[in-house]
Amino acid sequence: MTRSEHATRSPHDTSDPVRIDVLTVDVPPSWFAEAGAAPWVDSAAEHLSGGGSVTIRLAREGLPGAAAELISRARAALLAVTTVMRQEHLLPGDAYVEVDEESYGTPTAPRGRSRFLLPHQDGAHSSFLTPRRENDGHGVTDDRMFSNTVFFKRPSHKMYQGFLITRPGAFPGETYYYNLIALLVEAYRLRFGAPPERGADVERFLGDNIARSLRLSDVHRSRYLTLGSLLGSANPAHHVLPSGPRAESELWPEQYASIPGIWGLVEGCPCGACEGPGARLVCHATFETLGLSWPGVRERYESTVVGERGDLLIGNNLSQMHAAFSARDRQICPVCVVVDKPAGPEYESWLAREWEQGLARLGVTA
Amino acid sequence: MKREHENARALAIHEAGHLLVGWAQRVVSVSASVWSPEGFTFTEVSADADWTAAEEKTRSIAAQVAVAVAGGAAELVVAGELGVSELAEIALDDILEATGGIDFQLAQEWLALQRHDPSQDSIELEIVDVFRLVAVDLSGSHATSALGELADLFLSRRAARPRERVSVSLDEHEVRDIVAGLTLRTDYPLGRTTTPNITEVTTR
Repeated sequence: MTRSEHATRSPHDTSDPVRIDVLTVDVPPSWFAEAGAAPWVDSAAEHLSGGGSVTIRLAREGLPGAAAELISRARAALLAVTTVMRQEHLLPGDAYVEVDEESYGTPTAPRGRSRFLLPHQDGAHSSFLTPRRENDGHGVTDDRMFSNTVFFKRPSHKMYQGFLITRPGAFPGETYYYNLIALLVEAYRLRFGAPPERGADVERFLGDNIARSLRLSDVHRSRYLTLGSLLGSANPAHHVLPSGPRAESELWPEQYASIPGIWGLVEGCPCGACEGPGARLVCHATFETLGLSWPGVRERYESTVVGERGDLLIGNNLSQMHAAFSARDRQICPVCVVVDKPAGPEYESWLAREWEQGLARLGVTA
Repeated sequence: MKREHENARALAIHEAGHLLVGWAQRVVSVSASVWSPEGFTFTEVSADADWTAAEEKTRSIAAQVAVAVAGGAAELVVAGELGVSELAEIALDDILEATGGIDFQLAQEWLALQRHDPSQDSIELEIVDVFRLVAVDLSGSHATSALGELADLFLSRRAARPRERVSVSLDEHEVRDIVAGLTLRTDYPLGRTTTPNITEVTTR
């Protein structure tokens, strides 16, 4: 662990390249008066652009009581960070900060007091990792769209997903990050019996997997790509995202109807320890694609952040997946960095850099 | 759809509830209820709403919720154990028991798309509200009779071909005759999970 005046690194630092490195930065209360350049802004921008996740603590001392003021602070902080990312780290010029309304609580399974949100990407009907266009053999980068009829609010492409905790609830929530490029490299190795020779192999593998899931969409009916589909499972059951998507939750009737064998999969899983239909289905998918049970994947790949009130947690929404464990009465405000259309030279340059640095960290030549 | 339903007639009634309430909705479409060789039942629901139009999105979600809980409501109504006044005041746990976890969470899934995020309390209260309205609507004599006839048709087809996929479709004259003249609510209100800001974010 390294420390400076304004920043703290998580225990999961760069010594373990398959884990997401999490940086915590403290915003001094005095910063909000000017909201200008500051060391913490540069650190956050560099870390976020480098593939890590950042927890921006909006002044632990003197936290405003009103959620609206906290949200205003979060927006100011992220505007400052994205300005530097645009100037110095290839963030496209048309990327902007998207602040949603504060949530009213946390949906759980019936009677649940908490929920485990399974790995996902926010707004993943139109926000997910894709190959660079030159490595796309299927046209999945033409619109970078997985589904487009049902979505929450806006069909923006969320490059970085973040949220501000306005009310932690009954217990401090935990957020978990997963390095999707590392997972893809391992899934590739298991599928083909050898590690990828070049980064383009991994990108083509991902493109094949996205195209497969699009072809199977009438069967799995999911509106999001799942961990199993991204990692190349051919089993349509592994492309099914449970409601929520919570570990404790059921699948939709149409999913049970489309894939009859899925009844058996949600009754038990390879490790025998996962609780809930959603978790058991993910356990089957990770066992198939990574050779690890879902708890095994968590142990090997997971980075954890415990969030408190006034913490803005943000990470790359494409090269990472995230999960969460939180109380039923937790409230948050989504704060993301998005573009309306994921296309054009600036977006492609940004994406290319994400792939290059992600693969280099794993020792794969881009 | 209800997991591990042991009573075939109740399962047929359950699915008839989905079909009937779906048939009545203005903004969603149902085509058929299916009984698979493996023994599960399912009713296909589709919608073509514009999700960038707030009112249209909410109407579509309300209809999906009504169809999702209609199976459990139909079972309770046809069982006849509860009067109209009791149906109008039925509690959450009894609703969950009647619908089963799959249908209940399908309704919840739709409601969670109303805003970010409705609280679980408001979602559950919304499901209670819609369920009560659906149950009271289905308790009319014509509706109850239609549920029974649809269920009988479904059961007879299942009995005749137990190893095949059988269905009851709204395209069939026999089915259209059963629902002819039936009056059911075509829209359901949502009051717990709605928000004025349903399609736009607050800041750009």
